[in-house]
Amino acid sequence: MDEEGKIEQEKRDEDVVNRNSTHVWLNVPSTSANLVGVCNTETICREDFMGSGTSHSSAPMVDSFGRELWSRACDPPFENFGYCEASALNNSNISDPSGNRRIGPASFRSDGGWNPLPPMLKGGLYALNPPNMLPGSFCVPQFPTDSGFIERAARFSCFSGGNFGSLVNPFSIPENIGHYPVGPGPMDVFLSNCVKLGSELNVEAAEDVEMASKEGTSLGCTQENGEKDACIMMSRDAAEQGVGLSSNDSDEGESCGNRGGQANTPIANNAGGEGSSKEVGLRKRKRNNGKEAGGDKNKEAQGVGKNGGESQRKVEHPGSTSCKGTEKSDKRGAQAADPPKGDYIHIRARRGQATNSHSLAERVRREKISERMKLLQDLVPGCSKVTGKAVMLDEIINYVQSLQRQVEFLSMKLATVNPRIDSNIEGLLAKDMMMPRAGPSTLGFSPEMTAAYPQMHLLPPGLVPPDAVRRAIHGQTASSLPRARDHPQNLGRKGMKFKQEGKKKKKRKKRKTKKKKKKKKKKEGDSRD
Amino acid sequence: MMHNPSKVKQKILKKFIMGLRSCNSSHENLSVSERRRIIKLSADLALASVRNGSRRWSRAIIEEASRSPDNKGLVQQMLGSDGDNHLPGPIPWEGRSDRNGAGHVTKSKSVVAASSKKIVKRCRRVRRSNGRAPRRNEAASIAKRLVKKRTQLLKDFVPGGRDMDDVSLIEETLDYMVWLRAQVDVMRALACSLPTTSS
Repeated sequence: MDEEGKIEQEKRDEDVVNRNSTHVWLNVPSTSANLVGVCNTETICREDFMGSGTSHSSAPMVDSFGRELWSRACDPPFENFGYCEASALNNSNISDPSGNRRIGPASFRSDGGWNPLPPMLKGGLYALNPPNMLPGSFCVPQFPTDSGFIERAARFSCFSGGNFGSLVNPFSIPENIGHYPVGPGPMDVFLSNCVKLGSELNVEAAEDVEMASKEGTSLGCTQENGEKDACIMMSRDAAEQGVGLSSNDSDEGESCGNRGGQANTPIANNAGGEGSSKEVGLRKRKRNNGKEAGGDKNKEAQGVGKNGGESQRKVEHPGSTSCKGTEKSDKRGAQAADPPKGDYIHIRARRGQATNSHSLAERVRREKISERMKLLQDLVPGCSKVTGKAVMLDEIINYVQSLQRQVEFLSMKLATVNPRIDSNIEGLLAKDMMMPRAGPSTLGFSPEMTAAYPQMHLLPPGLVPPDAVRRAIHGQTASSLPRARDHPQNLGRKGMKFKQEGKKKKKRKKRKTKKKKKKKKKKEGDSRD
Repeated sequence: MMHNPSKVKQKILKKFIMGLRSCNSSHENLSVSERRRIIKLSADLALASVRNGSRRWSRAIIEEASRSPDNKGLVQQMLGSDGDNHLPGPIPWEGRSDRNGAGHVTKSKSVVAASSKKIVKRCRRVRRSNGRAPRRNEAASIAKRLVKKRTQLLKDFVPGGRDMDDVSLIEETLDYMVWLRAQVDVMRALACSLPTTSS
């Protein structure tokens, strides 16, 4: 598949990335793939990149997103910066145990964490070689273009996020048509590179546009004419549009296949001047964004350097177009590729910790247990402040015990009432459809009164034959309503009794008296017989 | 887990009432305690059958119930066509039960694995305790002991929890707690909706 090829390409780019941490690949068979290892690996990776203390999340809740980030980390360093921020955000937001994958992308929506990024990019990336931007190396693999791309990206990072829709400049296009006789080629290299990054970046700054237009005039793209329309939609910059248009044809296939920025293969196919590859990239991105208007606006709104967030959001919008989906599909492909690799979780030793496989396995096991204990904490009422396994287990045991006792108590109660069941069963089914749905609040009402309502509220979920229900309802309502009207107080009292019983049952959770009472009832029941 | 609690409860209720019907028809004149036992059994089976054998505790419940000959009729009635999935047989570690040889293998494997783990641990403990200096970290060891005791207790409470390691035990407990609560709600609703009569 294309996506897998792209993923491989991305991973080949890992050469650019330095990874200094010690890592031990621990094969831990596990049914829950990705749960533990990914988070750790990506946190450690982030540490390497940033050299700063990005917070680890001890609760490895990040799975697919971690993988995503990891694969994205293989991209040119520029994106790594973005991802470092992303991961830091991600980790900090996903530290709570109940966090699902959904928390991951949600965290990226918050723009707060992203602000530091642009200035950093600005400062750091301008150091890159400007000359490399220009098409000195047309047939060269990605790296030289990456630097130019990075520089481009850096420039874009200055610009505030916003809708590409606002960039629409329908009038600028005709000016550019004649300017670009040169066909796409190395421009596409840059384009595809830019596309990946640029899709998130904002291209709104006028300065850049002007620069691009100036550079663009030097080149010509004959093929661009057909692509004008697409560009028109999105691009504000005339020059850029012209160039972008030219590359459209070739880039179409590229973009769909290459959003991940793996321009190598398609690059080779393209011929033509690179020239204003920057602009081309810009245009291409704009064009692509134009094509994927809806989805891209999402991306664009994210603004500068939100690559990680972009990837996250892309995951969230699986319904995007193919072009947009390439990056997504890269990640998805990465994600999809990971589970099939096996049930093993690759875990990295954290900094300053033993790398013995046993201790790593122990750590994994401990983390799993603690994570699940946290889930249990949410379930067991009144255990939010409890810390420590022993106390938690104590509470859990008590709760399970009390639930089981309640079941026994209720079965005893039902046993005393049992004889009437046969006649009432269908009616009960009708009524009790209401009860579970309405919850404990209806326990306060009399059952007869609720029978009046089923015909209105009852939606046969397919579990109970509607005929039986209707019969029961009509049968019941005719007889029950007068009763209800006649003796509302009695029924209310009855209901209250039931409610109180229910409450009492709950309060008896940890008291041993419940056992005694149950025994008493048993004796009573036996004595009755 | 429980995506639609009300629907799940309805399912449980339906099966429960089915079971009650069948036990009523078959056992007419029973003592209250016997009735209680049967009611509880049918409630448990209803719960387990709705859970559909995808969890160890549900399979354990069904297996336990089918062990005694008295209950077998009830079990079969309640489970009906699903009985093939749940009838006593090998309980695989995860997933649906296989009644072929593979299933047998998996069950024995898991049991053997668990027991062999215990043996190994015991050996290690013995080896360690021989001539070991008194532990400085008393608190930790005490805590460990407490935790162990409690996990043992928990294993007794959660059906089918005896042969499980800690991680899956906690998972099972989690699942079991949720569904047990649903069962309690269903039974309570039923009990409250029935007009109270003295038997």
